[in-house]
Parts: sequence; structure tokens; C-alpha cells
Amino acid sequence: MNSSCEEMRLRIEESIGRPLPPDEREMLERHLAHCGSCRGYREALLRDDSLLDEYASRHTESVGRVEEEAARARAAGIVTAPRRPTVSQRLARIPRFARVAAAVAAALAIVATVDFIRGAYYGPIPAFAAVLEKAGKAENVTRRVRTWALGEWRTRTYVINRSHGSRIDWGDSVLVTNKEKPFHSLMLYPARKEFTSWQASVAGPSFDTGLDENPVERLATWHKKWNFAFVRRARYHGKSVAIYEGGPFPQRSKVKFSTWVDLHTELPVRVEITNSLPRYSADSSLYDLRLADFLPPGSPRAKHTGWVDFREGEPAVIEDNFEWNAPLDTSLLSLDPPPGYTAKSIRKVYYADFGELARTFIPAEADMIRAALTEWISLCGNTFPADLNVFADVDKMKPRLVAKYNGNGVPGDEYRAAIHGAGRLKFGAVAVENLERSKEHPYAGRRGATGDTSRAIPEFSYVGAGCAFGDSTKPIFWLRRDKDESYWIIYADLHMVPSETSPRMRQK
Amino acid sequence: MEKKSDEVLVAACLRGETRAFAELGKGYARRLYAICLAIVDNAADAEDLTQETLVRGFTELASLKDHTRFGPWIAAIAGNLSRDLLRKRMNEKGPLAHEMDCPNVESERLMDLRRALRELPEQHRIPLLLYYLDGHSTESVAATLGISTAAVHQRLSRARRELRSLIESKEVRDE
Repeated sequence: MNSSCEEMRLRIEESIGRPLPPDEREMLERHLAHCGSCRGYREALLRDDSLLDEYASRHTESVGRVEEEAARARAAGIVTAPRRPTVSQRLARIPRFARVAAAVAAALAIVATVDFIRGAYYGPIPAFAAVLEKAGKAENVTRRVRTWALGEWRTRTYVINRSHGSRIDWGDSVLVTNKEKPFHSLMLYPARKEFTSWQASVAGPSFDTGLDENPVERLATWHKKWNFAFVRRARYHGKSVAIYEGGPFPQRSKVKFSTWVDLHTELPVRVEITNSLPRYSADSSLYDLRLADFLPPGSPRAKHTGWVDFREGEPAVIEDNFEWNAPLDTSLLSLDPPPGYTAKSIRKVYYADFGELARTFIPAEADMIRAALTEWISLCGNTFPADLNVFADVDKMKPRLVAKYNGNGVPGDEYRAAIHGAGRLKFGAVAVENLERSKEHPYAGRRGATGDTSRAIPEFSYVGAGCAFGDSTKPIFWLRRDKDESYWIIYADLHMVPSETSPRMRQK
Repeated sequence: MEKKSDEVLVAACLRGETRAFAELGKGYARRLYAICLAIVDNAADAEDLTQETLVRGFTELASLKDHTRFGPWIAAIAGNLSRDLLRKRMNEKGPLAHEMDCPNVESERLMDLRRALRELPEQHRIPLLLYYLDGHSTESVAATLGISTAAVHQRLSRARRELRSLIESKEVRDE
């Protein structure tokens, strides 16, 4: 069999059961005419073809049966109903571009719906002044105020009634003021069932009527200063709200006020004050104290340190849970203590004589220096410092602060206590610095044509260097801000009293 | 046409239309029988397997993603069920006694053909039997197996050559 026969046999195989193209058929016939081998091959294939047909025909009966069975299958219950295609199978049958288009359309629909829900329904955004006007008509306002300070959130609840008064609840104590007696207040201590009552005739320097805690008045003040403007819509506790912001202000870097107004009621529901410089973070700049100084040595920053980190950009003050005109039991604002409470103290003060007021007002510097000296004694033993400027010495004071306050307690609590102690020292140092600076001021002591006395020369003296703590007769510091004022004398047992004369004058 | 027809019938089956089951089943019964027969070489088993294939196919119809490929899909089910049966029988009682179950008295040549068919590779045997049992239609074979018509022609040519070779070698041995 030559290569021609090989090729022709391929044609022969192809020709079984189907006609060849005319030119190929002609070529094949010419070959077969003179090639007996290929002729024999074709005959054999044709025989096989017939044989295969015969073989197939022998299965005609079986084929008939299966076809018949298939036709009857459904009726006979042989073929069960197919399961319904699953959702994923149905989705898989949808062309890809249609699926992508549907996904895009769905996303757009979601965005539109969210936008709608977020407040588009409520139409135009009310002016902030209109919000304040409406809020100002509310008789009762209740709200919660949370403030971050020294690594913890402190919570208090305010109840204000425009006609009756206010009630501020810190949890362990409650302050009640009432407009019927505007200079009185009642402090309740529920756990101890005790109360203190302050009964003044006029407002004193440390007296707080609570009026400045009225949220509407405060918002109005802020709005007047910083012109709150609408910034965005949002969703808050299932409500559509508009957020108004004032700030940041150049003079108060990065401080931002934000008020959230329910678009349905047009009343505030949340107020935030954001300050990137909260009071004392976990790494305080005060005497370089760090929370890590109070953690066990080598231990990683644990979760349960009693300290909540403050993240920059988050609000440091949050007012929420506002209730406007909710029913209020006015007995809550009564200045009469509740039944079962016993008096811890009742202070009746009459401030009609302002000269007396001036005399009883402790100059801040004297008080701060006394607090710093108290802290010094607790840190350094029983001998007063050689120089009050030592209060500012970080290298000297930090290790003593850490040693005093670092115990086996909760690190956050210890750190807070250390910062408070450091604060007493720091303010003492600041007081000394202020006194010295005002003494050296070029205009100090001169009274101008206006009679301005603010630049009066302070008179102060420290004689406690090396003195032992405890002698109630030995003066160690005295201060008079102005010659019209009293002296304030600190004795070696750290008690402080006013006096018309200085110890030096008395010695003379 | 066939593809479209299958697609329509499959959709109708999924909707639960009774007539579509019958139509689709009847249309494929012969081809499925040919596939099963090509693998098990036993008419009774091929009949049972055809029924089982249709039952399985209709039960699982919802899992068929591309309705136009119903033919190759159901053919694959038939092939898998037949091979499973073959394996099962091989494990239980050894090789199948193919001749025993044929009621007709076969000629010597026909028996030689069956022996040769059994020795043919499955990928050639199945298209060959599909072709002869389903009315000599290469298009139908192509649609059932999911291959091109040209591929069917090629497989048929090779199948015929190998078949001839096997028969010839038997004839030589006999002589």
C-alpha cells in the first residue's frame, strides 16, 4: 500500500454514509479502477456498515420500548417534577452585563433611598435661628452631658424648667436650684441620704444659679459669636437630622461646636464640642507624667487601666438624650430636702456688704501657693522649700509625684491623682511667676488718670525656707494684692487667715 | 433548531409542563439508549439505564445552567450511570456475560462485530453506535455529544478503520 492508497483509504472511510465532493469522488473512482486492494477495503467497510445497521436494527425493539417509556414517564410518575431552580441558579442564567447593570441600578436606588431617608423628605433645612426660637419656647428641657477629662467620661443629667429652676444630677450628688429663691441651692447626696443647703441673699462669687446651663441660651450665645451654619444631613437614632457647625476658631485652635437638629421636630438632639487638646491625655505634658509611669514595669498597655484614651478629632463634650417639653414633676425642683434626708450643712450667707465680700475673698495666688505648699509637704517631708520656684522643677518633682501616687491600685486612678497633685504644684509655680512678673511691670504701682488699680504692686513674702511643718504660730508666707485689700497669711501648719496687718508689721 | 427546541422544552419542563417532559424524553431516549448500550453492551441494562438517566436528568434539571446544552449534559449523565453500573457489576460478579442476555440468535459475523466493538475505545464506540442507532445523523451525534460535526466525521472514520482492523485480525486468527 503506497501513500496514494493511504490517502484514498481515508477517502473511502469518509465516503461511508455520506457522499464525497464530486472531484474527490472522481479521484477515488479512478484509483479504485486500478487498485484491487483499495477496492477490497471499501467492500469490507461497506460490509461492516451493513453489519452495524443490522446490529442497530436488532435493538429496534429496545429503542421502541425506551421511547415509549419516556413518553409515558411523566404520567406513570417515573419522572419526578424537577426542583425549582435556586435564586443563585436563576441569577447565573442572567447575562453578565445585565447583572452588572442591575447591580449598578440597585446601588443607585440604595443611595437614593438612603438620601431620601436621611432627610430629603423633610425638604429645606431650617435656619439655625429658627431652631433656637422654637427651642426657646420649650418649658422643660432634659439632657445628658458627657465630658471627657483625665481619661474618663463623666456624665451628668440636666433638667431645666424655665419657670421653676434646674436639677443637675452627677449620679452621686444632685444640685437643685429654684427660681422662687434665686440665690438658694440644695445639694443632695442620695447614697448617704444627706443634703447641704446654701441660702444666700445675693449671688456670691462661687454661687451658680444654673442659668448658664440652659442649653438654648448657651446655643444662642454660641450662634451669636460663631454663626452656626448647616453642613450636612445625617441619620441619628432613626431620625433625620441636620448638622450645624460653628468653628474652628483661630483664637481657640481646632475647637468646633456642632449641633444636630431633628428635621422632623426642628429641635436639637445632640451637641458636640470637639477639641483636639483635651485636658491631660494619657501622655500629659504636666510634669512629663505618663500613664505608663503608673503601669506595672514591663507590662504592655493593658485594656483595664481605668483610663479611656481620647482620640484626636473626637468630641470631648457630648450632650444628648434631649427631651423637649417632656412631662416634669416640679417637686424635683423643690428646695425642700426629700423625706428621710438629714442635713449635712446649712449655710446662710448674706452678701449685702461688698467690703466684707472683698475681705473674705481669698486671692487666687495665695490659695494656689498654699495648695502647692501642701502638696510639697506631702511629697518632700516636713521641711518647706528653700525657694517657691522649686514648684516648677520637673526633674525634681516628677519622680516624687510618681513615687507618691504609684501604688498597687488602678493605674488610671493613680495617674489622675498624680495629675491633680502635679496641678497643685504647677498652679503654685504659676502664682509665684505671676506675682513676680506683676511686681516687675514698668507701670506697676502707678495709678493713671483713669484710676486703674489693676497694676497695683502686690506685696508678698516667703519666709518658710527650711521651716518645719506644723507650727500654727509661725507665718511662712503672706500676700496682699493691693494696699486696699487684706493680707492673707499662711502659717507653718498650712492654715491661712486674713489679716489687716502683715506679720512683719506686727513684729515691729 | 434543535438547540432552540431543547432550550424551549427545558424551560417548559422547569415550569412543570407535562407534555414537555414527554417530548424531551422521547427525543433523547434513543440516543441515551445508544450511549448506554455502547458502554454496557447489554440491551436490558441499557433500557434500564436510559430510564434511570431520564429520571435523574429531570430531577436535576434545575441545576442545568445552559439550557442549550441539555444534550451533552444528559449524555454525560447516561455515560456516568453506565460506567457506575459497569464498575458495580465488575466488583460483584466479574466481567459481564454479554452474550448471555441477547435473546436473538446472532450470526457469527455479528458476534465478531460485537467483540470488535467492545475492544473499540469508548470515544469511538459511542459516536459509532449513536450514528447507527439514531438514523445516521452526524448532526444529531454532534449535538448529543456537544462536539462539532467535523469531529464526529473524524471519530466515525477512525472508528470504522479500527473496527475493520479488529475484525480482520479476528478473521486472520480464525484462519
